[in-house]
Amino acid sequence: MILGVLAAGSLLIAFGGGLSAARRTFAVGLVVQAVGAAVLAVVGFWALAEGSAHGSDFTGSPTPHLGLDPLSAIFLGTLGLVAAPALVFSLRYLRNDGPGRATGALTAAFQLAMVLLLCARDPFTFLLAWESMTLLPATVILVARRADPTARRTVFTYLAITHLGGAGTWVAILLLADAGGLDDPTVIESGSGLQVAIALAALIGTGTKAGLMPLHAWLPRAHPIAPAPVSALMSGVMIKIALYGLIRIVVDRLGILPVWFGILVLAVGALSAVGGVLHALFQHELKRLLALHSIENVGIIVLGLGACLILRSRGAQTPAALALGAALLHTVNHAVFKSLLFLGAGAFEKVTGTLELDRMGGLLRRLPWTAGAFLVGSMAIAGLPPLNGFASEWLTLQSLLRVVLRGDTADGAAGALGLAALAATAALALLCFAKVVGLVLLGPSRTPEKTGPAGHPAGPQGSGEDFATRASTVFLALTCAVLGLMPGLLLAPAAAVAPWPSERPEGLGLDLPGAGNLPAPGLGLVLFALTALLLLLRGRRTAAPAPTWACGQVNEPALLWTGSGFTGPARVALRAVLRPQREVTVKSTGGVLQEVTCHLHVPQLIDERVYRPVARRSGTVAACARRVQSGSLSVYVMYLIGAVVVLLGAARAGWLG
Amino acid sequence: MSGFFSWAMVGLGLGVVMVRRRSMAVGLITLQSLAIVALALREAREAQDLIAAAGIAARAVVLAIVFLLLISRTREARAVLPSLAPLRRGGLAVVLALGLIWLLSGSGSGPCADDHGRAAISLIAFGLVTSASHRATVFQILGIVLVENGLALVVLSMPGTSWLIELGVAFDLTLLGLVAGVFHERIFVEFGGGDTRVLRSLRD
Repeated sequence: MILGVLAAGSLLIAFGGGLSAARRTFAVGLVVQAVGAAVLAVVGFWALAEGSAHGSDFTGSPTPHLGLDPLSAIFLGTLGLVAAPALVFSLRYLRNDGPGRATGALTAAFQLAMVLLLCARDPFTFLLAWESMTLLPATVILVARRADPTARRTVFTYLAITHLGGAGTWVAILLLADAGGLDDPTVIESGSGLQVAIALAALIGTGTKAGLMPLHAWLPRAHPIAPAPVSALMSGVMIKIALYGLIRIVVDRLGILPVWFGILVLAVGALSAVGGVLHALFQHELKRLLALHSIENVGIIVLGLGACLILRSRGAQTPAALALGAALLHTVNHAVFKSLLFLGAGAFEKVTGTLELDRMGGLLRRLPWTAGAFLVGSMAIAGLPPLNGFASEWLTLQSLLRVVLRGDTADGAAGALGLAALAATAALALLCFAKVVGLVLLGPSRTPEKTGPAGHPAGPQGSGEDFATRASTVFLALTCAVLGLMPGLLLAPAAAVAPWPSERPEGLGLDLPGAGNLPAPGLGLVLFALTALLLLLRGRRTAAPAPTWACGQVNEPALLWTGSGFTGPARVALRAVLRPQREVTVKSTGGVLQEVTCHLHVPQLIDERVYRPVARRSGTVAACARRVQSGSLSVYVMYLIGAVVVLLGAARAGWLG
Repeated sequence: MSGFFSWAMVGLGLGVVMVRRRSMAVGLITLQSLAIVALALREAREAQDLIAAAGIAARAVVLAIVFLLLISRTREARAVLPSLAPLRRGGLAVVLALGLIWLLSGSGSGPCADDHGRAAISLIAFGLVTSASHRATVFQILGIVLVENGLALVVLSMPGTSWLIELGVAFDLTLLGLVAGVFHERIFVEFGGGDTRVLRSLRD
């Protein structure tokens, strides 16, 4: 039954993709795709609640096998939950022209590739879907921004890094299939070299795709340049499905891993969480800032996963299952609020024609519904109660506490560092989104009222806040609230995904066995009652508008807050770590000062210190290697002959076994 | 299959390596392909073998027509001379063939155990040398066809080979010939000749 409905949803998406490619049926196609995605959401969460596997089991055979189990189901549900509103948003966001229609059709293919990956039960189908999931968004970006050479360069970087790093996924899956670990997870000995090799390869391969530091260099470049609904799918779902690959391999197929591997995962998660949010804090471009926050949130998920691996190695099965549940819950939560924020950014770009934080402002008045929803998303990503980000970060915190309490010296210290990293991340994320909300939603408008943005049509009334935009963003904001008030809805089945026996948490709140509890619905009710009381007390009175006091000066736009100004203290405090670059230009004529320009730049340290030197050296080696590339067909055939002769010679000498 | 037949095939292959005229090479290759068809018909035991032979025959005829049509449509203003003299090409081809046969005959069994196998390996070596030593684009394609004739000769000596595979290979080669023909014409239009040396300018 479930597989039948899943097939129906996939067929609807495929059919909708076909319709989106035609001019007349473009909008209908997007709606059909959205319905298909909604069906996937229902199937995913239904299968998760049911808690049983459907279809084929995993096999090392190269023939196609498909199936669905609770771990796939939670990601499938997330895909549908994000894709449906993103497609509704596309109705007004995408133009009904060549690139718009191609984007609509390719979005369907992108979703289907992700569905195939989640349902793949053999190595061939898994790797086929994995590569398709990499290539399709690259194609979307190239189609949507075909006239932009920078976008082409970015796609090249994205493909190069994800393919180089993604080799780890191939190695992990093929080694796993060869050892029989796909058929039976118990055949790989715990602590063996093979187990460790597979786990490390999986961490590199899937970590690259998920944007884990230091393999993240492609993410802040590629995600912001995609059309907003595709950015939402990439940041909200695609990188999570990469984490699905990691969880599937290291949790589901490899048995109990050594403690040090859990510590390594924890360290990578901490680095990504803190590094991502630090770089996001000093970003001036909204979508790039959101992309960097994806790195931070992937780091938080991986912190939970690291805690799960350590706790499992220590034999603490229930806390390990809860840590896995925390990681999975944050996966769903991040998908929801990040896609909301990307859709909001797309709507703001439509209205203001820019994504520069310092050129936005006053959008809460101009787009009350969309900006209101964006505010909810900002509060959720900043980890404020009673929203979903708070619930899953609190759970991750609890899991890290268990690592400290149950671990040995090394893993206890790692858990403590993880806790510190999570606390710092939460604080910095709050600071960052206070900046975003202040600059983008509040204050006066810094752009003309009816600006048509480059590449996107203005909304029907020039406002950009049409029904599709409102409906999609408000739906996601409500989902943030529901998942924040009732996290137990997902936590119990998510913790039950763990392939070992454990106690399940109960209730709609966060009632953890053997630990504290967080009565989230109760807290929500109290907050709701307090807000209602304040509104009641305020009555019809409103704050009287008054000019801001500026020390007696005239209030000029130049005196408005900027992103750099807001984060200045943090930049100064973290100067030793971030190495900000400051360039001051002074122009004076005849000894009289005319203009002072200050350009501040916070470099991506891993890019500057790791990738750039590696790329430079690779370029030198490639230039040498290029000498053998003569451009002569005859020479190439000679190479072929040489290779055949060498191989036959090696075979004759018995070197090939 | 007699030793004479095998070495006749080798002679035809060596002719393709050494001739300069494209039409002559096409004639030799077609003759060789049809000889393989005759051999396949003689050794056919089931209806499936006949289907495979028909596939090879169709491939030989279609490719011959395509190549002759190409040559008539792309007359070279000046002959495109190979990089090496005919005797040197022939010598190189024979040396490579002998080298491959020596490398493959280590165990006393395998493809070089009889004249038939050695002839097949020689054809593969000749095909590679044809592609490497000629500059005319048509010869690059003919080199591949020569390699395929060598492979077909190997297949004929292996009982139980699926006729579907033989048909598939014949179809692939026909398709490759057609696509390569289109490329040849395009090169001729763009550069005014079918000399692969001009393609070096595309490298950067």
